[in-house]
Amino acid sequence: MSQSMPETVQLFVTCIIDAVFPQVGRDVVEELERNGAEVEFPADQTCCGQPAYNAGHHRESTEVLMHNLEVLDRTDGTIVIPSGSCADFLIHHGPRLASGDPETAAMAERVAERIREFTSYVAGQREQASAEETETGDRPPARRAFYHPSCHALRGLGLRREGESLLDSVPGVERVEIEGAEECCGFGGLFAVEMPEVSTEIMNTKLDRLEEAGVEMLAGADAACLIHLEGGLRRRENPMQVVHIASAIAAGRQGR
Amino acid sequence: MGQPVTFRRRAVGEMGTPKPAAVGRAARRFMGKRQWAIDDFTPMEETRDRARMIRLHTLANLHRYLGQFADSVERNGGTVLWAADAAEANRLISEVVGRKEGSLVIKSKSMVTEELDLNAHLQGDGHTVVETDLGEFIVQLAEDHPSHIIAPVMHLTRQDIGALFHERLEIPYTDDPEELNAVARRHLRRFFLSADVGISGVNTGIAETGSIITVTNEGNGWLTTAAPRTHIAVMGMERLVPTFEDAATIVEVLARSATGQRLSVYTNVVSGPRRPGDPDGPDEFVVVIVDNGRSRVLSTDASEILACIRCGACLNVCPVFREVGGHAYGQVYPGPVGSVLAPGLADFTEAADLPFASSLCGACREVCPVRIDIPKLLVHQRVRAIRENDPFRWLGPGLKLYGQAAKRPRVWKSLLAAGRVAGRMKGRDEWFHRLPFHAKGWTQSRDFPAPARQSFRQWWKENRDGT
Amino acid sequence: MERSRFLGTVEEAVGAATLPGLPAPHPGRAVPDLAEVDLTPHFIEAFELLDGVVHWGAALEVITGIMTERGTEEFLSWDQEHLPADGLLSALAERGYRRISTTLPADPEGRVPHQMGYMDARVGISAAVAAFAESGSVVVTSGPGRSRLASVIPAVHVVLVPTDRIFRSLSHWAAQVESPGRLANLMVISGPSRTGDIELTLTRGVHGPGEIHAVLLQ
Repeated sequence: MSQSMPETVQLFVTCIIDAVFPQVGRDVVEELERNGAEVEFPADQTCCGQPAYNAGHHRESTEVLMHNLEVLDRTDGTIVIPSGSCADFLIHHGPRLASGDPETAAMAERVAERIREFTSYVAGQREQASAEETETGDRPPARRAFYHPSCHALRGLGLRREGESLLDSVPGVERVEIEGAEECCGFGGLFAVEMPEVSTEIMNTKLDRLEEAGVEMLAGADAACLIHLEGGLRRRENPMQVVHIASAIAAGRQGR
Repeated sequence: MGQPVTFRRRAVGEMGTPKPAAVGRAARRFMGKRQWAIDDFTPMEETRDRARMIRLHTLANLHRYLGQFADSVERNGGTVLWAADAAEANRLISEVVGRKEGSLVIKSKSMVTEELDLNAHLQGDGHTVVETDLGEFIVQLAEDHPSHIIAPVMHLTRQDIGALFHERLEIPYTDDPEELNAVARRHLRRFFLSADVGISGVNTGIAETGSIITVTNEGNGWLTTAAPRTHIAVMGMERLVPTFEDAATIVEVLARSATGQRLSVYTNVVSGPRRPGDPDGPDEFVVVIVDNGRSRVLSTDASEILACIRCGACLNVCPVFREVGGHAYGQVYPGPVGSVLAPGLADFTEAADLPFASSLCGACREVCPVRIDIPKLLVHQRVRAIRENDPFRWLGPGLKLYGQAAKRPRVWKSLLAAGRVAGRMKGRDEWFHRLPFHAKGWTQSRDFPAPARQSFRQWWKENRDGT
Repeated sequence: MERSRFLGTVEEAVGAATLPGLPAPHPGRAVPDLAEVDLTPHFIEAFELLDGVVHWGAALEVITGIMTERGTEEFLSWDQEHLPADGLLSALAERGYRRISTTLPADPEGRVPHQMGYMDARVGISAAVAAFAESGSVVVTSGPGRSRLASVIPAVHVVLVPTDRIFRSLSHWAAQVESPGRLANLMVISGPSRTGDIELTLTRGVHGPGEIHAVLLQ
């Protein structure tokens, strides 16, 4: 696949990565290009609209969604989103929110069909190329890493193995399991500020289990969950490294 | 008019007690027990699909099936009473019980009677009411409320129960479940055989045959419906299926989903009073069909929640329920199902914050045996809450600003730029330790990252655009 | 409330309902899997998994054994004509065991004192009209000569199970049973009475029998 015509990929980078973790976005671009894609970034994109949707503010959500659907609908090729939650929103909730009008409904369906979540896209590309190189040379001592599957990727899109296989391919990483791996981390969007104490208790259960399992590196494909977990780890003064899977891949390659 | 965020306050209170730890342990053990053996003659996914279709079909034709059910009950020699609300249901039940002064009433577990607060009502009329499900019996002794649909005392430890029995039943203290169980058996036995009236709930009614099904593991449901002279079955109006075969599907799914059993120990099908020549069974069989807000729920965006078969799996798997326990919800039906149902059944504004008591992780949708999209319904209820009595009014302006900015790329970019200015006021790679106003909820327990000095889109523009 | 008003409200609500998949057809009858399988071993396995005890034939010996072990001489039972073991009750009587009568007195006030007499019974005898291989269940019914309390009050329940009454599962049986509403009570029993209400610790014999014995009859 990667040897033939380069595939055009539209990157919907998500608001959090755009504003807070631009390096993750750059790592995503690098990985997509290594898999033979020609990456484009539709400049007028903003946010998928999910925060307002989950909070029950559907007018705001629909307006934001419509703008971004129009931006994406003007482009061609696969749309890659480095967030299971935003991808799940655009695939499953977008068409419902846009269903009021046949034209917007059709647009939402067209866009939804083009969307691939990052780990799913890359794992699929690697499978087709079936030759992801394993690094040779000096192997750093393996670090215990856990892949947090994130609820919307896991239960909305049915993804987990994809992200885990990407983590497995990172040199110097030994992937470990924790108890309750598929349980929610407690982030939940605005839930985290609407019900902060409950959100915190759920987070603490997750962090306790990460600590019990001696995890040194926490990888995931949803920056929002990772912010929440890293924010909590910092309060515990736990030095566990928290990374987006794209950055874990890039770091493994560059030995950084 | 300020809206107290009551779930949050109750949850904080509950989280300060040992209860949630007991709940978390029990809920996870429950989920561990769920199983659907691969060598079963009942294929899992197809059976779940069937169960879902049966429930949705029934709801879409509910008035018709209720009419057929009532005709069938009467054909079998039973009586049907119709109650629009709790007050009417209590009055009707009282009338049946109260023909004899100071009656002894035994009850098998019934969530709908919790909804009615029936026990208090009957006791107020001078009757003695004895709960016979072990968990409900403990709840009654403790003057407490059930905290789970199928495991009423999930929040109590064996030590709590041992101390309670010691105090209330005047037995030597023991926390051995076997012994506590034997005490309850001895204590309740004579009530079963001497009660005047047995009141049961209904797991599912059957329109075609006029039957009601109760499922129990202890046998109290069977005794309650077989020993007393009068049996009153109290049924939420949606708890119906068309045929016996449909009911079989429902109880097969229910048992597997609730406790991981292929069937509950006692699947009890009652079709009217005892027939001529029957050596035992009630002389009188009365079904009280209760609306109490259900038709209201049916006519909203949340109709689908009425397909629920009350297995409790969504509670067990819910990360919020596991941390706060059932009492934090302050409603008869806790957990994800309750957070959809309770605001609809009650005065909506009273429970308007419950739909927000969820991270929308989707675990409930995944386990629901009839595949109810609970997260979607929670979001529907959030929309309604905001319209009717927004529990998080302070979020409104922020989300309006977000809505305005995020549909205009240039405004959005300015907003991001403003965020970067705030970020630069911190040092490089800094995290905020305290955020102002309502955002302080976040920084109670978590740092929050400052925006990056260069956004991704800036980087792209400067390095990649036009290449 | 009157039935017609109640149903009118419901009909209105149904009209406004937002159910998925409308018009929501009924799934129809399940297509039973009729592949030839010997169900008896499945039944035995499932019944034993629930801590039920299986015996073959010889109902009299099984019952007298249990009576001796329990040190009791009284029992509850269905009438002989509903038990698929000829002469069982007369043989028990000959050996000095006493069946407690399950005929309620004509006076309704006599019900409670009569039923209180059942508390002495340690063993109850009845027969299965159906049994399910998948769940290890037995079905007992009400009817003349068939006491419900005989199966649920005593600490030990002995149920006679003709092997030709074993079906695959409850839903397989439900698809072929005729007018189940005709009888006042059908009870599907799956193992001994149990509870997990106290810390999910499984304990047996809460209100129903803590022991169940199936005597298989060919």
